[in-house]
Amino acid sequence: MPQTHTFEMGMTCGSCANAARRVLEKMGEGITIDSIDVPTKRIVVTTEKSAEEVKTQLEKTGKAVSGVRITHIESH
Amino acid sequence: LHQGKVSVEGMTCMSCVNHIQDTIGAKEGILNCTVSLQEKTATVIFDGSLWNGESVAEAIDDMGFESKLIS
Ligand SMILES: [Cu+2]
Ligand SMILES: [Cu+2]
Repeated sequence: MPQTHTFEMGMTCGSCANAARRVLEKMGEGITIDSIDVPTKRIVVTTEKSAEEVKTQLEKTGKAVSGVRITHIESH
Repeated sequence: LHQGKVSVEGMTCMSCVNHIQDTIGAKEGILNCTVSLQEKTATVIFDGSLWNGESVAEAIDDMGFESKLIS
């Protein structure tokens, strides 16, 4: 079951956000980017992959990544 | 020592420039990395036994900035 994860990443401008988007897209299928927001530094993704795996990928941008939170999606 | 020049797409400000210079410049075998926001390039001086132009471009590309070897 896919889970929604929230990360906090040290983004300062639009190209930080683009860099985050690009590295996430390199993970291929199985990950959906819900939102990337520079002012709040929050990145939300929904994926079957582990939070650690996503965090490691985001860290490739060289930015600090923290604040992992997992939100289980309720099935209706 | 070798020098390579690569393209860097997607930078918008000096913090992107500094960020790439610091991250790439801190890697083992990279002696210097100078990024130009205006030219959209990075000029990198590296130890040829650890790096080549392609792998430098790949390292920058992995940071989320599209990068290709120029020379
Ligand atoms: Cu930025
Ligand atoms: Cu920037």
